[in-house]
Amino acid sequence: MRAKTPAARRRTDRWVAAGLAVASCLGLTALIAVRAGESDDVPPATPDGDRAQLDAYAEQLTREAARLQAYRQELREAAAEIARGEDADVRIIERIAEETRPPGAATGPSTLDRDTTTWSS
Amino acid sequence: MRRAEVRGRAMGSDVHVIVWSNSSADRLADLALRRVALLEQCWSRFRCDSELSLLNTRAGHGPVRVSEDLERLVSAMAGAHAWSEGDVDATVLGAMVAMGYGADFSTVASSAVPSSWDPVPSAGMSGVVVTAGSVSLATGAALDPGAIGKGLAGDIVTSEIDDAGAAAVLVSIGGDVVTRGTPPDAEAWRVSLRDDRTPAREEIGVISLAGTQRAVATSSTLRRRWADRHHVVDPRTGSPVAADVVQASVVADCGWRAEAGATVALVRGSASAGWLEERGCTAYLLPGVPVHV
Repeated sequence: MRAKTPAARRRTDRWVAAGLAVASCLGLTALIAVRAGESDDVPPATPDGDRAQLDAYAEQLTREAARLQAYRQELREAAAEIARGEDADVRIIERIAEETRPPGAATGPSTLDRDTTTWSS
Repeated sequence: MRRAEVRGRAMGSDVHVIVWSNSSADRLADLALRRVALLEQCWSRFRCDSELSLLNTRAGHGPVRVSEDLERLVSAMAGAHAWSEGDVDATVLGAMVAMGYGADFSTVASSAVPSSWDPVPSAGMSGVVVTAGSVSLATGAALDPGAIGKGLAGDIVTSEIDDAGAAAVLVSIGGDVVTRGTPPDAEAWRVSLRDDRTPAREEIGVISLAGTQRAVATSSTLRRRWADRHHVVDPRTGSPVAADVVQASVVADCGWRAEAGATVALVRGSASAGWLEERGCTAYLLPGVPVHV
């Protein structure tokens, strides 16, 4: 680590302060805290402008939650479609097995091996 | 059996998804990409409106109720910290910002940064408390998802797509890969490892992901460099790591652990090889000249 001059240190301090300000999004800090805070130390009131921004932020959180809901719903639908496809596969295999079974062969009890379409009794 | 493949961009990285399924493969691949984007919106430290940014602003103000996704992230951060014996510490955000990594990397790389800085050691994960449905951060603690976020995103997305009925799924975020199942035309997913030390990025090996070895993550001090520094920080000092390993690829049972293992390798250097092996991780460590800062 290089040694720094006092001027360099001051520049660094200013830069770090600015960076922290950006990183923590100070413009929203107090506003968001009021909206989302669960603790008791949340200020009870905010100016009207702050309230408007809070409402906008809350709306955005709601939209994000809705997107997650929509994703989950579509995932459920895809899962159901896959399950229906697998059921159809089983029915096709059962039909093929039925059609290819030698005349007079025992009909059960038996199990179906879906992967190989062979019977075992 | 159908194979679907989609690519996108999230978490500051290229995202690549492959899904094998009897039906709905395209739909599942698209959903996987959407899910990564949703996780980024929740976890990004570069978005003022992410839930993580909100949580960071509440440090020192007691418990904050969080979504399931954010709780999973913070729990994974705590798990990675414990598993790595402190080498992985998500409270390095102050150190990252002090070094100039306070915005997404493309912005950092293109803007002026201080020529020197005072290292800021991590605030410490002891100041991060997760309880059912809520998280509290001690004053001064702020969380940076870093690589753990990418690994956990891979874990979550592959798990959900697998649960939906996919035969096999792969999610790669910035080259860090998490899988479930195996492709029907192969015994394993095969992932090529490249050497960042050479301009041509020559292939140094091909690893197989199958069974319980589902994930591989690579971390390097040769990437995401700006000015005279890189992005992998030793949480105890707040300075970029300077061990004798410059690139590490670690294979593990899940994404976040692979990411944590790669960080351990860069923090400890070649001495980490035995430690990782004892914990069931396969490591590919590339030696190099330590970075002086």
